[in-house]
Amino acid sequence: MKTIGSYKSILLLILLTSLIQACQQDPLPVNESELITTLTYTLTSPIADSVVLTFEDLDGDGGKNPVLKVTGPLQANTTYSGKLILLNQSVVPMDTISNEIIAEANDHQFFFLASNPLGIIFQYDDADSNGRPIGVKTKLQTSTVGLGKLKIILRHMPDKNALHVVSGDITNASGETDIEVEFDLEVK
Amino acid sequence: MRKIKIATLVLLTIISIRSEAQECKFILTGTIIDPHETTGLNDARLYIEEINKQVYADSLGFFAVSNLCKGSYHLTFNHSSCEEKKLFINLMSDTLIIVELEHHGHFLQSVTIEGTRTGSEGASQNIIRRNEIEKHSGEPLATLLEQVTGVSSFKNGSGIAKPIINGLSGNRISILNNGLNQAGQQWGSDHAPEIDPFSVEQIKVIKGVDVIPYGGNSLGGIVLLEPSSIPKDPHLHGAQLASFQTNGNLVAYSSKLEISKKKWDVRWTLGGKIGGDRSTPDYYLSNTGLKELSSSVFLIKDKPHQSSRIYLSVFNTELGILRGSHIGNVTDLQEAITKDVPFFTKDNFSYQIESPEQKVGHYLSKYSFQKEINKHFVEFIVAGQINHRREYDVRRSGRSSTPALDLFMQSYSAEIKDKLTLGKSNLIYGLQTRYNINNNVEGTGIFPLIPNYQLYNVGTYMQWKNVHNRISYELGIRYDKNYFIVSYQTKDIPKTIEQRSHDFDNYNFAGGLKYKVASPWILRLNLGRAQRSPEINELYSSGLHQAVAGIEEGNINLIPEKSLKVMLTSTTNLSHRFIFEASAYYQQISDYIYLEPQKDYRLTIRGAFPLFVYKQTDARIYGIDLLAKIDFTDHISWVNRASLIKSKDVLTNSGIPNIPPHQLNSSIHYTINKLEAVKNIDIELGNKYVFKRTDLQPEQDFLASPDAYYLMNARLQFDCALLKQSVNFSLQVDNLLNNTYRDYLNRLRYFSDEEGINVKFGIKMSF
Repeated sequence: MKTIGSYKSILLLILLTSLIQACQQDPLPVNESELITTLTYTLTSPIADSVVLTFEDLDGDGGKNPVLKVTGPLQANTTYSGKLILLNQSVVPMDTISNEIIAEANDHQFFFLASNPLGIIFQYDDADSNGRPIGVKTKLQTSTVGLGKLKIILRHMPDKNALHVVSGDITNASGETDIEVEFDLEVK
Repeated sequence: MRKIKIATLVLLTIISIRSEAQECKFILTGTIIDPHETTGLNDARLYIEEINKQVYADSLGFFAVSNLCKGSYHLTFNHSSCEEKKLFINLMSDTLIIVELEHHGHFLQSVTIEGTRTGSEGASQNIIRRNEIEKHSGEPLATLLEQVTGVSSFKNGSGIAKPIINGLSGNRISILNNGLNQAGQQWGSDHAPEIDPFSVEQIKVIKGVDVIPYGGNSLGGIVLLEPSSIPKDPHLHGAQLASFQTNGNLVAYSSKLEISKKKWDVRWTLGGKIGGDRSTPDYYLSNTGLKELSSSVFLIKDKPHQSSRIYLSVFNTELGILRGSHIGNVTDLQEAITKDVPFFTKDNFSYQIESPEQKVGHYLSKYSFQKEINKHFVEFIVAGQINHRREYDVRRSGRSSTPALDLFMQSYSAEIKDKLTLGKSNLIYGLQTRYNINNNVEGTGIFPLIPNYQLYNVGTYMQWKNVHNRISYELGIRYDKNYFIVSYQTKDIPKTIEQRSHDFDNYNFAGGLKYKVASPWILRLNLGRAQRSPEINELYSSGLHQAVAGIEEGNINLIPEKSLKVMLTSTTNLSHRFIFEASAYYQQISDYIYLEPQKDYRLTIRGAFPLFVYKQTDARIYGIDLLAKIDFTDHISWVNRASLIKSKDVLTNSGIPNIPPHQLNSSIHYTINKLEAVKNIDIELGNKYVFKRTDLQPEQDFLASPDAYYLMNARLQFDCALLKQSVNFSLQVDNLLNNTYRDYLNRLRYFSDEEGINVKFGIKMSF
């Protein structure tokens, strides 16, 4: 019995020390380094007012609903330069996620889908190391007047070699969707 | 010594007859019997290793071996329809032995020897023994359990599977690793139990009253994995099992060594497997490889009327998840559903595992002390478990090598129980306590799916059994208190950590009755009322479940589920020639916890996601399990099984998701025993038909239930002696017709077909 007693006490000791270890953890809120809280698409033109499209969800998935804003209408028959900026404003200092996208340009591509009646034409204005588009910089050309929607999609690991993907057709792009936001858009 | 009898499942009586015999003049006589019939077994045989002699018993199971020298002998007893039994004897004089061979019992409920001796009569248990376990080398625990009628598995590809018992799985069943509630993230539908089934000697699936001593929260039943006692043999013995599967080029190995020393009996097991991408009939399932390494040590120290036992085990696994099943949003899912071949499917086979993947480690230590005091058999257990689960996603900027989910759980438990035998009755009662602490390891950079928490559990129970000739009955009662302290992160900015506690009381009652209508016909009735309190994921889970493109939200206002289950089983057994068993059950669960799809989508930067919130409803699950086994001759038998199951959400009048479809199995076995060089030849041809689920509404799922499918499989195995060792060879072919199909219970059915043909070679050496 003596030996059994000592086994028991050793085991209990192991248990107790691990218990003390276990209780020491003081949880901290998670630093959500990968979160994209904010997307801004800034459209500038020398002959028209700038238009800024913003999607903002500071608390991430869940919590409060995201806020979508468009500063004003686009002008018809005008060419705009578009620039996308992605931010993570949940961390201090805030993080510019679009820089991560540019650093991994070969694995990312934005797609811009405007609803048909608007007749907007997009062109990529940047390229990755293989000469294929990224979409952080774009040229946007408006034509007729109208109301519609603009969807911006970011695909992670798309197949940029697939048919028509380089020209901005998402049909064969595959990959995973990291961003999919839709704005109401007016062309005046 | 009683404890040994209980654990070993062998009843062995050695009666020494005084004799004046000379050296090498001893006679060993004996009878090989069927414990249920108490008659001798026809066609049984005995092998004596030391003299390399095979002895056939007569039609009544009687055998005699003369001219044996004084000394020790290793005996192996065999019968075509029974489990092999090994014995070690020290022959000092003429000896008479009586050996009970247990029939292959996994088909039938309640065929436990423990039951026949201690009166576990109303209970409902299925036992899978070692040789059945070994047939499934390379497979996960849950698919191995599918051979029990009424058990199916919920899968996430072939490597990740969770058992479903009579329609219930996950939080509603408990898996007991060595008698301990498996600590870990059992709530996850893609979290397989972290256990190597090849490290244990038997696995029990328990329903009914016998669930009472093992823990609350088991509305569906429990799966109990147990090592057996170590044979009292002073020589080193062991077995090595290796197998190779063509699908996934999977290699599995497991070994066991055991020896009985003066002070300690020791068993050591080691197991491992490595597999690459599986394949359907048409393409590779990219990134579905796996790696696993596990080991355990079991030490027993027996003294008269007491025993100390130490069990230590480590288990490590790395599981790849089909690359094409990792999707970003609902659009991606809908696109994946329309694709014939999953995204990211590669043209070549690979052993490499990349994100998405899971890495899990499980470490267990257990000490138990058993003592027999008069009519009491007391056991004291302390145990500790550590579970570390890391899940990796495809992420940006090199973050794929940082886990997206990193959970570290510690569980400590202590238990005392007493089994009191009073004539034909016995009383089991005990007290259990458990402390679990679950932490998110910092650095994932992702809002945690479940929060940090601590769980205190205290349970106490009592089970009473009474055995009579024709009527036996048992009653059980159990109370559990579960107290959670949760440190959760708020959703609003600034994000802070807040604490909340939850207190649940669960009451369980169960009763069982066994009535022997006539000698070959037994009826069993089980009635149970059980309660299950909500688990952490049901209360708190928060965020995007990327795998199913949905946002899941916990509900802190959930109350315990209350289940009422009645089960009636009829067993007819005509001298093992014809067995028919029918088991019907009806389970009513009020406040059944489920994920309710919400009308509004939730807008995120990745698009709008369907929102699922944990809600409660009233559910009914009922079904019938059938088994018929016919032995046409001594060599040919035919086994048929059917599991029919229906489920209903009483509020919406529709079926309940993730309940298995109806299923039929049929197999023909051909067995030959007496060939000179080759023994125990067993040929099996099996069929399986799984129906389509038609009781689900379109809004309950993204995709309708897959069509019904039919599978065929075949198996050949035999023993032969090689270099004085007994070697068992097996060849098995699964999905023999290389059918293309999808299974409702595989989450990957949205993305890919099931595996195609798989040829498996196995070799087992025992010494």
